Amino acid sequence: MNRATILALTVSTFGVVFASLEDHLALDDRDEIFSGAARSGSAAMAYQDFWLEPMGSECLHDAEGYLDYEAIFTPMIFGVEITPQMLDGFSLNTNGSLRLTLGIDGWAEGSVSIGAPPLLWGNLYDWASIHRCSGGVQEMCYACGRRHSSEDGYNCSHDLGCAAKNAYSNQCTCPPLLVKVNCDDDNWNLSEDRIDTNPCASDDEIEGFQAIGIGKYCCCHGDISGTTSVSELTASSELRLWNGTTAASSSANSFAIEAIAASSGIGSATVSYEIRDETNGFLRAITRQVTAANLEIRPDINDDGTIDNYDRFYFDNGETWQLRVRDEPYKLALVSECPSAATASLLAVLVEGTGTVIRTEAMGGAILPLGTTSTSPLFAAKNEAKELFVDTSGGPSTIYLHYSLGFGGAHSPLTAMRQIHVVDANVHEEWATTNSLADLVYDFSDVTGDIYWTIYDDEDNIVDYGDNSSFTPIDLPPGNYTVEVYFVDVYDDGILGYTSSADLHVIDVRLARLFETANEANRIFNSTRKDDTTGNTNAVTEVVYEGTPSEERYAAPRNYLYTVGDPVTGNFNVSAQFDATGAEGCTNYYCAFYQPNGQKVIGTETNIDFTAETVAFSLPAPALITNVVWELRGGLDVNQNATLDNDEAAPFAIYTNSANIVKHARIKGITKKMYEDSSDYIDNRVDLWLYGDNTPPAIIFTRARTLLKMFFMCTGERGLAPDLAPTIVNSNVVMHAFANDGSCFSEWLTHNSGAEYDLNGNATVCDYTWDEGSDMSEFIASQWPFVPKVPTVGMIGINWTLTQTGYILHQFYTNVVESQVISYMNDMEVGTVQTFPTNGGWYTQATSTNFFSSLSPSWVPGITVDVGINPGGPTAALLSEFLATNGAADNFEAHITIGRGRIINPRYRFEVQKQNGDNGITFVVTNIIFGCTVMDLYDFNYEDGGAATHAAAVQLGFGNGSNQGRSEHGKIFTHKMYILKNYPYPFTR
Amino acid sequence: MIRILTTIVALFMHFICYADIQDDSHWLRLSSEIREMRLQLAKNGAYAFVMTTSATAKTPHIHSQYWLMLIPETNIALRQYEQEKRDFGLDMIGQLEQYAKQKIDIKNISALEQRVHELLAIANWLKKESGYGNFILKRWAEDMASTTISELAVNNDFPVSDAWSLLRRIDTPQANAKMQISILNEESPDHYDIPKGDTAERIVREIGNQWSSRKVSAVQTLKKKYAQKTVPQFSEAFPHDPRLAFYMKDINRVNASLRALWNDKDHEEVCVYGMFCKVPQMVEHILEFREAAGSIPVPTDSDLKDLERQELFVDKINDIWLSNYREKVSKPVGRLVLWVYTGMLNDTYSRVL
Repeated sequence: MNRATILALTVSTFGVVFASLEDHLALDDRDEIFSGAARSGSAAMAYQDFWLEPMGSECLHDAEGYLDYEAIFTPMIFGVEITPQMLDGFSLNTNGSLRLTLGIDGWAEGSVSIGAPPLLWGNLYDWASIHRCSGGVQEMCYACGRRHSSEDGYNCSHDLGCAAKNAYSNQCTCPPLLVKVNCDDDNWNLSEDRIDTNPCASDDEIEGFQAIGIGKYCCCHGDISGTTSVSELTASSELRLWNGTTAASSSANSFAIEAIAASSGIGSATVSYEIRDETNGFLRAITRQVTAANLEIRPDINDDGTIDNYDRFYFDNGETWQLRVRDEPYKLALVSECPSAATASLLAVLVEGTGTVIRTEAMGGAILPLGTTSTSPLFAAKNEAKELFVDTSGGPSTIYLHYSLGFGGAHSPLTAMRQIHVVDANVHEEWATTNSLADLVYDFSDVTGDIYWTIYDDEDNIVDYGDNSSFTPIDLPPGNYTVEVYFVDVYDDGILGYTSSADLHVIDVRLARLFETANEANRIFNSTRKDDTTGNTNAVTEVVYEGTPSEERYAAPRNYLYTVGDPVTGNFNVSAQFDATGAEGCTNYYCAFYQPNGQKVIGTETNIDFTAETVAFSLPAPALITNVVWELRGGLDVNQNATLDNDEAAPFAIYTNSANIVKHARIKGITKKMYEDSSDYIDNRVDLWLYGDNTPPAIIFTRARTLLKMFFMCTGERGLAPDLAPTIVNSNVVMHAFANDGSCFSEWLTHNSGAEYDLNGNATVCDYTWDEGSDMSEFIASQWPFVPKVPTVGMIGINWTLTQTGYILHQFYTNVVESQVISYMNDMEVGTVQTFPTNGGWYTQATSTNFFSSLSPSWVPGITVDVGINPGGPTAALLSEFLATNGAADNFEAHITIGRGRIINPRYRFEVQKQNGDNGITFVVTNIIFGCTVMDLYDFNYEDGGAATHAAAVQLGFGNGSNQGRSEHGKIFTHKMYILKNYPYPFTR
Repeated sequence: MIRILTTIVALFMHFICYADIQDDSHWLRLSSEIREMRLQLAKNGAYAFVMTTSATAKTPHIHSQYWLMLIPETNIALRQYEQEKRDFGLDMIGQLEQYAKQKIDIKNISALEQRVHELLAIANWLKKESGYGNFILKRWAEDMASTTISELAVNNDFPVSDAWSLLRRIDTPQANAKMQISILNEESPDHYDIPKGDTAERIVREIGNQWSSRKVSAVQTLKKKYAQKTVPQFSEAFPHDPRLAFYMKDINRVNASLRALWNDKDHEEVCVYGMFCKVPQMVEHILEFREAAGSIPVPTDSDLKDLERQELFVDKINDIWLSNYREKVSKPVGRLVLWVYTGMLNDTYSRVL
């Protein structure tokens, strides 16, 4: 329906006058045929009215005498968007001027071109030019003076005496005038009554009818011009005049007729009238043929399942019918009231987007072909309504439905078009994490009309609300919410007031634990405080301070889970437990591991089932890489493509280091190959240590080899050199990986592996003990820091210098003991040997002096000392041994045998002999007796580098100690060495 | 190398000749005899079995798993016989486990002495044959006998001279080392040279060195020589150390009663602790100290109550040693005495792994 047909046009003064657009818009009036001025208004963010003043001589019409103003006034405002509604305001006002209302969004300057499009004027005129009559003889209806062809474009007025004028007859040869049947229910009583005789917006079936006056075709020289009138106008029964009668007599030359029923045949309805001149009286009678027909695409606007006049109450926007996505179909009908010879056809169903279809029957019915023109008639008989169904369940899209009523070429077909715009006005269930709420957008901007949205918590308290069509919730704590959106002002567009709601689940997912599947004790998080100040600074970049800075630090990064590839598959088998709040029912949370470059590791993506206590990952290890560092990331599959996209994934924070940098959960995976290499490496060290294959083994570092063998060979005390094997084995010592109770060395346990830990971190390990006088105990007691004197290489040979302990002993003897000696032995005979203290006891750390200072913070029990010396590496130690035999190798062996150890109850005695020296009586310390217990945990730190890294790989490779098919594996153990050592003068051994 | 190949050839020829000379009925008959011995062992217990059977039944020659693996699979009867003997060895392990679990009041001199007699009788019967299993079982019996002697040694009521007598019935470390090397040379495709005139420690250490350096080449030689894949990996039978392993991955053959005593995981291999058992030496130190001091301090219940008091008890003995007998006794024995009284010595040395 051409909404411009509501216009009533004057017979003689119709013309187009255009106003130049003030302020910001200019008129592209290339033919210089327009004048006038814009009346008012700003052009920014508003509507502006432009008034077109009458100009007089311009003639615009088509074959039917109608003007498609929408087509004529082609908006071409560059940079300015003219909304479709702007043409709604285009009307001819009562004094003959045109009012053009432009809706302007934005602020810009541009121009408007007004011209006749080819649709109206053919190609003879540029679309941007307006037609202006200039006279001439053309084919026309000699009865009514109308052109027969719209292509001539000339001469709708004639000079006096011209042939056309002279050949006037009563026989009108024009094609029938097409008038749409008015089907209005003007009183809204649900039946077509057409009682409203006043033009109104909804009465778009009322057709303007212009009787061609004398002045129209006899205006060339004006001899008949002047006051002419049209009178005795009558209409057939299908038609009625504007005032509600079927016949009238009027002196006016402009009428409106409306069709109240379809004509029986094409052109069978008629309008007849006489033309009279004031001077000459009756000039002649004219009868025009009219075809009355109707064509509608009628939606079930109120969505009550019935297409009736109720639907007319709501519908006023023309072509667009806005629907929402839903499962139930909408109804619409193709309705025609037409002459018997007419043919109704569905011309085309064009769809933008996918999803929505039009079915001939309800859900499941045949789908009308899309994108193609259907030429087959939809109606077999006259006045039949065809009901169709719009299936919007497929998603948002736009359908253009074109419908046509043809009249066998008698005149242009009657067409109707309906745009069906399907929008998703449904709130969908959403999942968001607490750190991704900012990315969650509810967007209903595609829906016309106002909306109000509200978010309720699970106790129906409103936590957020608004009225914007696109919104993001505020930061919400984890929980279940309901998002409700009320679409208010949308019934005009086809959607009745509608409320949609859906759950919003805000979840908070944190990593509770990441651990080796076979050994849950080897894990992140491991909150056990650590005491490790062994100087592993080279390979250690992570330093965690948990208590007083500088007191405690941990050599292995705590955000790393160290694991070794499965011996069969090579995969890294790790498991995770999540502390997920509000995740009940969440099925679209994924985790994956990422390489340092941010790329997802293929094959690691896992959909997380939060109902499961543990999520197991079997991570395919690369074949050509010995170790990997992969970061665990997780997130919701927001775009629902069943994969975790990079922008959806976020790492899991483990801790913030001293530099205030957040550290994330990672695994350090040691591949099967590296494990096997490490295993061979340590195997060689066990047997050969630092020598090559051609050098007889078991010559040096026998003690270190012994412990390494016990660790690596899984033979415990078996197969050891008899003089080095532990004296006692207690195979039932419970070690607590997570207990800082001072009894189990957890503060020194670098990786919670190498033992069969239970879920609480308890494992039974072996405790090996060497008794007093054993080779192992004697050896350790002879090294730093226990031995009072050590050799150093000087310029002229070996010098014996006091160790720190020796110095303290010397100070203690001088300051405390010596006076006791002199007093006690003063009266004794020369040569007497006396032990101090004289009561058979000991000078102890508790009662005498601090013989040893602990390297560990106060919370670490006992006194910790570094046993032996690391002179800078094995090579240096060997070199030192060969060059100077100064004990460096032994001290190094002690270092790699124990490293940092705990000493219990260190105590001393001095044996003093009264001697007669060169300078008289002297009291000479002839022997220092030292007793203590050295305790240690035997394990390895992967970050230490060198052999320790290999050993740690072996230690790490066995999960819960069940060795997973390997025949060899490392087991950590605790050990004690009871020391009762004599250091005879000069106290060097 | 020649020596190795000779050994290998000898091993195979041994099996081939066996097969040529003896028909299956021979091995089946011998197998049934072993089965009968197993029944008697289960019925009477180890000591009674030895006492009643030693006069009539020949000690089974219990070979290693590796030995059995070298027998051609077609010689089913012979393999069955050898396996039967190994199963007898497993039964004997179960019997020795009963001794290991047996707790005797340390003051019950007669019971302790009887236990020593029984274990040494079993050891003597077992070592009549030089199979690898015989040696392992014999060593274990001696270990347990040694720990029992240690309990007699710290008992001032038990004559020192009697303790020395019991101790001297146990093979010396040197004798054990040489015995073991001889057996290894018989049962394995490798050859171990026995260092002459050296200490037992040196002998054992040298065996370890040879094992470490030759374990790979031995298998390769076997494969090359016979060009067959069926030659078992030596490491399959002795993955760690040929000196100790007796039953490897053989836990499924262990009967239910023995299994009940064991932790399966700890008994994937049946080994006897300590190539060089330290207990005889420890007992020697204790007896030396007791001879020198006249007696050994006996801990009171209070002395054993907690670790701190135990340390005081150790210090008490060691102080005596420091003050008086440092020159006569080569090491302090306080802790050894404590371990005897607390049972730790017995726990350590009276077990298999």
